[in-house]
Parts: sequence; structure tokens; C-alpha cells
Amino acid sequence: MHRRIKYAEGVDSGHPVAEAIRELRPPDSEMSPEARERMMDRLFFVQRSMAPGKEKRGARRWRYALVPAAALSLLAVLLFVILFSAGQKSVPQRRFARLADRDGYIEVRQPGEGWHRVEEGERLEVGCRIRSGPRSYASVAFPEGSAMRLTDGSEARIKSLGARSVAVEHMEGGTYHRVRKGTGYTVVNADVSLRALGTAFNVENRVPKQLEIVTVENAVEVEVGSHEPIKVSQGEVMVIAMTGEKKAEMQPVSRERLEEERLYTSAKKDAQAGNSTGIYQELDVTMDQKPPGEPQPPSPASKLVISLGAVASETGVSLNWGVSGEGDYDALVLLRSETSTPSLPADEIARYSDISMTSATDNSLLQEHTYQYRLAAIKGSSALAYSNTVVVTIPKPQPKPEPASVSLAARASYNGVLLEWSVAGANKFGGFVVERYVEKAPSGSATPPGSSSVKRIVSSDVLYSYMDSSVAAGHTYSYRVGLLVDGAVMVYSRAVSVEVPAK
Amino acid sequence: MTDGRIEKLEERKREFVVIPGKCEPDEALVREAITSPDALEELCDLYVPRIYNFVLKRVGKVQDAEDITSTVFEKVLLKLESFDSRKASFSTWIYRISINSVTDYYRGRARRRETSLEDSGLEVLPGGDSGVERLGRYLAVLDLLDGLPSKYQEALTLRYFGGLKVLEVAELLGISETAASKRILRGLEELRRAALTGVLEGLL
Repeated sequence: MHRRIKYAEGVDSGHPVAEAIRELRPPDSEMSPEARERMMDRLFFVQRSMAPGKEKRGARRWRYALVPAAALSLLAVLLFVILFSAGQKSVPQRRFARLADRDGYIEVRQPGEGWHRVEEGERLEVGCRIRSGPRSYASVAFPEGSAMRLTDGSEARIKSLGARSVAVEHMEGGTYHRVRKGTGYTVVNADVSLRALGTAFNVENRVPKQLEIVTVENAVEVEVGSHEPIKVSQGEVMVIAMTGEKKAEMQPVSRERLEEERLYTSAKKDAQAGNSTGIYQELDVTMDQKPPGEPQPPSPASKLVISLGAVASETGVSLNWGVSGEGDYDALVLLRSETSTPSLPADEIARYSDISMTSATDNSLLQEHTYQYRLAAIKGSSALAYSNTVVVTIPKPQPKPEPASVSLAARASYNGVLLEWSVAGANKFGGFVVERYVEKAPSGSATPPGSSSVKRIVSSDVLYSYMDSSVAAGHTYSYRVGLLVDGAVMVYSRAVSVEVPAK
Repeated sequence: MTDGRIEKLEERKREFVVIPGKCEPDEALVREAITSPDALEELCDLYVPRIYNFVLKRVGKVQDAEDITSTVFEKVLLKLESFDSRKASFSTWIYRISINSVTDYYRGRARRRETSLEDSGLEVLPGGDSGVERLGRYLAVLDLLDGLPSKYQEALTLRYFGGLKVLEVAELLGISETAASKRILRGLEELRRAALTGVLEGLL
């Protein structure tokens, strides 16, 4: 036994690749204090929101008893304000949103303050952030009549509030937006911007590095970076890969997606508020409205919800998923079909008893074929929940890039060293890496000969230059530029030496 | 570090125990972390450095490593109630969540990395010309690793970026120690084959 363990542990000793990795890997470092603080803040929030017994029993009763008194006081204050302001000059009005409705644990962070638990009716200023805990939701009413609903585990920030305009930053999770006619309503996430006029739509980024926009009613204009806006009409879903190249796919939204618990509940609340729900009505998805005052069914947010996303490439499909809510299931089953919505048991292609798995790759596919995927959470042989269905088409293989070369020119200028280069034989690449090596340096220099640094630059159609402003006078540097393809350097330019004159 | 931590615990009159050598938290600490901010912080003190460095070495970008580490600990907290120490140790469990999160990261992103090494603490490496080369090679190794089948990626990631023993890799992957050894060796060979051209030629 002892011999076997010793052998296994030393199995890679002397292997050149193992030795190389050990030599190359960086030493341990610490997470930055700011990042650590952000993380702990988030964790404490999740912990608070998970805590049972968030509200003392008598608290709600007391609150109800106080409502009439508060209403009378509010009326008196309003009367006073109206009488007092008659004859006064009008002053610019500060606008606030309000927490209109909530269930579970919701926190807000007003500008300049820390996070605190919020109650219905609380004012939300411009700059305010709001977040919902697990199995919690919140509705925010904007002053001009629009509304935003946060589903569980979500966060948003109010960017601006105007007389006829609202701007919101969707930060994480899922937000459903009901836009009043005539309001210029904007939702941003990173460099994706959504603009709407009189519509209802849903934004989610629960699948890592993926932003999904579902237009429930009318249309939304989506602008990705500096690209021309793309219209996402009623009943369409756009999925944007939030990676460097930001690929977007658009297709009709599936019935399963519309019936997914979070989106369905948001649309249902919207319908209960008297709004039309576009695609739901078009597809005859029953809203099962209950008149106000009747007992509501338990919040579907507590049920098992599976969100599935997929990205197709020439070599296969990468699937990512997230499971939330409560449910006692013992495996996840991946389903695939070419002809119809995949279902159990006929379309099972993989089964994961490790339910912490959140991704898979399917490489057994044919190019230019279209596949539908679903994920099912099962207990024994019964399916407890299904994910949304995703539809992907495997693209044709791209022609291999021609042999590439990079030509580099470098010169010292008044504020550094300017590098300019051109690329031949490659039209699809991921960026550049600029490498610098100190050839000569005055004695006592902080960067003696042999020091080096590397800078990776994001790809851009127009970026073929780099100003290195971190050079020191009296030093001679050697530069070269590498062309990055699929993350690795494909080819380097020749090295170019530049002397930075002494001052 | 360990002494300081124990002293802090004694001050709070709690009876958390860290298993010497393995640095495993005891069951009470894990359970209490669900509701107690102090216990949660304690658990993070114990595991954030390890998980953060594991992730950073694998993804090569500070901001992504911070985001992924944060995601890992949020998942841990949300699933802590279902953690069963009879099935796996806490370390095994958290590394499993970490490697899944790293896999998600690689699946979700385009195969392009924007890395400013000034940000990652890897900027200046000693050794003359080898400084530049070494840095480029390290990033190239990560990219090559990204192209391997996931079973090799996982084994090599745990072994060389998590610094785990073969036995621990085996436990994490749910395979025998012999199978883990073979997987690591085959992964290294795959990596060597992939590295025969390009900037790693000559080194591997």
C-alpha cells in the first residue's frame, strides 16, 4: 500500500511538462482587499437573506395597525405642502422610485450609505442599488409609471430618473421591465444597452457570461458595443455571449421559456396589474389570474428552476446551466433531439449524478444540423423539472487562416515609445501581445537590463498601435509584437530596438 | 497564522478545530457558517487564499480570478446545508465547486484572453531574456490546457494549480488513485503533443 501511494505521488516527477508548469507558474498572491470586501459583503447578504425568521411575528400586525395613522399623517403633510407651495416658485423636483412590493429578503444601498433591509414604500434615490436574496423578489415603481421586477438573486441600480425617462443598470440575475408608453426607458449591462418605448421585456444573466433578452410585448432595441441597434420584437429572444467578441443569437422564444417559473411569475404579476402580456396572449399561455384578495398560490420562485444556455461552434456545443430553488432530485439528465422538443426517456444523451455539475460539451454532432437541448432534474425515474429548450445550429468549418506575419515599427516620441504594426495573412485573430525587454539601462536603474514586461491588447479592427508611456530616459528597449489566435501567440514580429534619449 | 486564528477563536469562546496539516474545518464551523457571520468569515479566511490562488493560476487574470472565487464561495454558502461530510471532505467539496466554476468560465468565454500582466502580479520576472519568454510560455500553457479534453484539464488543473496530491485528485474526480495517475500522465503527454509547435517548442 505504502509503495503504491509513493509511486502514485511521484508519478510525474521528472516529466518535462510537469516540471515546466511548476517552474512557470506564478508564486501565490493575495486577493485584493477591495475584491475580498466585495465578496464578503455579498456573502453576508446571501447569509442574511437565507436566515429563517426574518420578521418577528408581531411586527407585521403592528405595521398594519400603523398604516391608518401613517396615511392620515401623510395626508396632513400633503395638504400642508400643497397650501404652502401655492404661490411659491416651482423648484426642480427630486425624483424617487419606490419599493412597491416585495417578498422575502430585499436590501438597498442608497448613494453614500451601506446596505440595509428595505420595506415596502421606501424611497429609492438615483444611484440606489437594490438586490434580492434567494427565494425573494421585489417590484420597483418608477415615478413616471414604469416598473421593474427583480426575481430572486438579482441586483439592479437606478441610473437616472427623468420626467419621461428611466435608466437602469441590470447587474445580475433577472429583471422584468414594464415600460409606460412615452417613457424613454434604458437598461444597460456592461456595454449592452437596451432601449424601449412602451413595452415589456425581461433581462437575465444567470448563465455565466451570457445575457438574455426576451421581449414580451412590442419591441426593444438592443445595442451591443458600437454596433448598429438590433430590434428584438415581441416573442423573440436574443442571447448575447458576453465575452470578447460578443456574439448574439436571436430566435423565437419557446413556450417552455415563457413558462419558466421566474419569467412566468413576472408576466403574471404584470397581467394582474392590468397590463397586456403580448406573446403570452398570442400563444394562449394561461395567466390563471386570481382576483385581488384571494389567497395566492405559493411563490413559484421556491420551486426548482433550471436555466440552460448553449453556444455552438464548429466542433460541438457547449452547454451551461444553473439550478435554483428547492427540490430533492438525485440526477440531471441532458436531452437532445433534432426533430422536436426533447423529452424523457427517448432523448437522453447524458446523465449526471454529480448535481453540482454546471456545464457539458457535446461533440458528437453534424455540421449544419440543428439540435434542441433540454435538461431535466430527476428523482428516480420521474422528472421534477425541465429547463428551457435551447436550439443551436452547428456552423460550417471556417477555412484555416493563411500563414500570418506581423511587421513592427517603433520610435521614441516625446511621451514614450510609439509602436505601430501591420498584419498580413490573417483576418481573424484575437488580439496582440506586446513584449518589452530592457537591453541597456543606466547603472542604478529600477529596470536593469534583462527586465521584461508583457502587455496583452484587446483585438480591435483599428488598433494597430501602442504607446508605451512607462519607459525611462536613457534606456534602450527591445520590442516585439505577437499575434494572438485562439489565445496563443501564432507569430511574432521581428524584435525592434528603441533608445529613449536621456533627459 | 494558525496560532493567530486559534487565538481569535478562543476569544470568541467557540470550539472550532482545524485539523493539523490538512487544514480542514470542523463540522461545527461549517454548520455555523450558514448563519454566523463570524464563522463564515473564519471559513473564508481558511479557504479564500487557497481557492483564489488555484483559480488565478488557472485563468491567469486577476479580475476573473476574483469574480470566480466570489462565485465559488456564494455557491458554497448556498449549498452548505446540503454538504455531507460523510460523502466527501470539505476540501474535496469546495475544490469540486471551484473546478466546476473554472470550467464554466472557460466554456462561457471566447477563446481570447485580455491579460495585462501588470495587473496580475506577474509582470517582472527575473532572468534576462527568459523573463519575456517565460511569461509568454505560461499564458501559452494555459491556452493549450484549455484545448485539452475536460478530463485531462481537470486532473492537471487540480494537480498543478491546486497543488493537490494524486490521492486528493483521485478523491475529487471520484476515480481510483491509479486512474488519477494515468489521467495526469496522459494529460501531460497531450499537453506535450499540443506544445510541439509555437512558443513552447524547446521548453516542453
